[in-house]
Amino acid sequence: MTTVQRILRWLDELRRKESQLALVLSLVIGALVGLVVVAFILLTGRLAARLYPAGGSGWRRLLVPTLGALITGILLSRWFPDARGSGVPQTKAALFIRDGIISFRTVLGKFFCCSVTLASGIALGREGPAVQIGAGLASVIARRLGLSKEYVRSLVPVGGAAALAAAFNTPIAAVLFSLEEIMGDLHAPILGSVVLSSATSWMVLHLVLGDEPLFHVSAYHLIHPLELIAYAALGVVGGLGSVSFVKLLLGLRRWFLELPRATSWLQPVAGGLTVGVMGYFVPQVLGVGYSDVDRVLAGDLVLKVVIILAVLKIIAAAACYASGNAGGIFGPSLFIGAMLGAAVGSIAHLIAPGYTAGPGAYALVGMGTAFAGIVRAPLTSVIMIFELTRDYTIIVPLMLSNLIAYFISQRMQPQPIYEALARQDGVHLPTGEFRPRSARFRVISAMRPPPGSLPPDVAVGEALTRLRESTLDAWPVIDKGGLAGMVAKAELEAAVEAGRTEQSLATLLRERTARQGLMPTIPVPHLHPDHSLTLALERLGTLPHDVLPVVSRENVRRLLGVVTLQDILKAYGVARPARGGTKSGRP
Amino acid sequence: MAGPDTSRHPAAEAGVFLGTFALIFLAMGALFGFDVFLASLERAERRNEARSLYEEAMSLEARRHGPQAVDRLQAAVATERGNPVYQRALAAALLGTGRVAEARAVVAARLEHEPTDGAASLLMARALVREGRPREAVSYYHRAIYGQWDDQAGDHPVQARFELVDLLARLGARRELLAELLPLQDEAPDDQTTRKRIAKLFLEAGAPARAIEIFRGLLREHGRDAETYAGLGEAEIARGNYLSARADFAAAAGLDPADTAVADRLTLVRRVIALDPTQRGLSGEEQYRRSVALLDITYRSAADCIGSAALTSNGPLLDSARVAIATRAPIAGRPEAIDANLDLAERLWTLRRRACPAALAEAEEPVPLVLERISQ
Repeated sequence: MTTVQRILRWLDELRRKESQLALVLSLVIGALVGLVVVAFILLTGRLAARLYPAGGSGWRRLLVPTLGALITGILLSRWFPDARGSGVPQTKAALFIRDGIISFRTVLGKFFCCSVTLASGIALGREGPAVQIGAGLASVIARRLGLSKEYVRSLVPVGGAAALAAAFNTPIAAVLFSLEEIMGDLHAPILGSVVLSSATSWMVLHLVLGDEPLFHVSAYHLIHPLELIAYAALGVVGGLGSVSFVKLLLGLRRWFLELPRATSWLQPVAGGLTVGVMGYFVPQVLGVGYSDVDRVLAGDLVLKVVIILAVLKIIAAAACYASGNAGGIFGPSLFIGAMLGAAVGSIAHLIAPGYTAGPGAYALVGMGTAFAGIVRAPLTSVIMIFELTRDYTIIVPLMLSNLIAYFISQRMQPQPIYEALARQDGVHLPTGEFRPRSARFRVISAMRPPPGSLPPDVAVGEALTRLRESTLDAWPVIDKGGLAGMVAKAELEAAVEAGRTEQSLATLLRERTARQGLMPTIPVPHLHPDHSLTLALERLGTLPHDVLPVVSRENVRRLLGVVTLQDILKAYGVARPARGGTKSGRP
Repeated sequence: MAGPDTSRHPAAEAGVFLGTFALIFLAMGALFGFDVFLASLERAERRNEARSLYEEAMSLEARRHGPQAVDRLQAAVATERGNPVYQRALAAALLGTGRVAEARAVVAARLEHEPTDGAASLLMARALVREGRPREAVSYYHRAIYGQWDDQAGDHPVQARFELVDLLARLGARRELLAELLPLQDEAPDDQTTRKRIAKLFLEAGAPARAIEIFRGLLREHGRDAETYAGLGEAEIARGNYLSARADFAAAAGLDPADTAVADRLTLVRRVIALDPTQRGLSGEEQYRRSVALLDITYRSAADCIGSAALTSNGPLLDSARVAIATRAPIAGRPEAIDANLDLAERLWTLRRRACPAALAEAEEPVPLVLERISQ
């Protein structure tokens, strides 16, 4: 048998053994994604240096981001709608909702739109988009090779980790980010593959770009135990800064989302113009700003400048992202954190020069602090800074500062940013606590098809008549947008007794929503198919009826079915006799 | 890879499978080429930009615009990280503008990357000297002397060793100085100026015999030279050969009559010879006269210096001296009297030097040289 024949035979064996193929793919994806991300970094860097060179005219700094945003706005709205935004929530949505499917079109769109966006000075980061590009490539390859849904899903974080390792030059932090943020599970069984791909990608980065760290950091250490007070203060400032950024971004984005859809191609220009006007006066606001982070880490920027840069970057990044430009918040988080850290460090050093390090050390810790506060991945942030500095001595202040920022951020903005962004798009990402470990006790195993529906314009009296003929004590109300809410038999009976027989269900629902202070677009409470039955029981316990709607995570108004108390008990094997009515549930 | 246990699955068609892999590897090859091309372009641009900044900085430095030069060099280092030439130039410029701590940080970063960098070690040594940490600087001078230099053919290690010996001479570390001078004598260029410098340093290291050897060699090879004679004279003084020293200084003064320092040294040596009671060929009477004169000078000097406050505790010594000066010893007892006078003079001089380490008056200048000769 010749060598070629042996290779072909091995490949044929590999083709049939999915687990081995997935392992080989971890290496291949690591290398491929590493090369793509390096190309992405170099391309955006070179284009940016030409589009708005250092020392260029102010008008250029004003026009380039505005035009760049206009071009990407058109590209995004016409051809690549899924390439908008960061890429991390989109990757999570693909992983948890779409069986790991990310289209090649999205990958291409993300690559080119982000290249234009970032090269034109839009104040967003490249890491989030890189994650989506990496995850997308992994998804495309896995599907092309005929891997099962489970393996396609398991390779998505593998691609994401490879991308982050190359984009940020931190292979360990990339592994952790993939597990902590994308998977939401540090014990995920894909750890080995993620490590393989991250290491491969990192090696590719070093092969092409050499052993040059992303940031050049001096060796910092704790000067005096009392200095921990200053680092705690940095934690507070970082936490408040993070919350301000997240709230501003989400608030602005909500406003943009409420604008007519026809304007979506023009909306990014608002972000481009904002950053352009700022860049006209303060050029450092443009782009991801890692060169300025490098300078502040060396203690090169003065207090007044770092405060101005922190404030401007918060506004610029929030405006750019909220208006629908393509780019991530990973980079801006680090920039904001470095500037806030340098500000706190400068003040601390002014007050107690003998007890505190220079502002560079605080800028470094500030980067991790803002990352913990904004992205809410505290472990990743600690390891990331450790990898950047390769210095253990800064870890204790870093952990203290991170935890304080994380705590403040969690208290003041309970929903993490990526989940909040997805929710604004109508996508309900599963949080770690709601991710069931066993498929057997998921809602999907107990749910039944929708029993039929009530239109919102039907009168209360008529609805009650139809409900009385059903086995279910609550029914979904469906309007043209999908699920509008649930009405219970008891609620209708109370309305009839109050003499509101002719009132429409829409009015009833509107009044209830207003009474409960809820958003009219979200029908609560509800379940998703991957929720646990325990959660279903908990939610049923808060309701006056025994029926909960099961909706899609991708579109919470798309009704997939309903689940009843009876169904749940049956799934647990403790079913009780039905309370009467027809089995089908039809009135 | 841990995952679902599906060792067999509905695999892709063999053609699709191989085609996909072929496509992936093709894409990887193309991307690698693209990346390497872009990276090399970027590196070349950065190199050019950094070189231009460096050249601008050198021009600014030549025009003594140190702070502006530092700015350009910082930009050059930031543009082309890891370039040792720019790093060292930045450190040197920072040292030149008095930003010693920053210079040390730049050099430390360079040495962390390349601990054997001789030029960087030399800059570190200079920074440490400027910071008042000469002992730490010594080890960096050694690293500079034995380290790697870009221009291995140059005399950088020798220059570094010269800086080190100058430092050791300033510190008064005579033993270490001598240890450095011995190899330096072999390594240094064989020109007249360098050899004179080494000879003077030997003198400072307390090795006048080696200094004399070098000076004499210079006179043999390069003929009569005032500076060499003066150096030789100093070496002869150090050895206590005042007669030879007088001849050397006289020769130096003859060659360069305008040199007042040589004239002063010649005068001093003449006064030493005139005061020294141990000179050969002196009569007993002359020896005694000189011993009394020496005692008289030391007594006056000590009395003036100590003052009335300390007279009580040192009274017996001063009284003995006063008596010895005032009383003329009998001829038979002269040898003992000479010894006693010299002993008293030595003790008084020791007392005087402890109490008043300040500069000597003109009349007192020969005393330490004479006493040194006597102690030899």
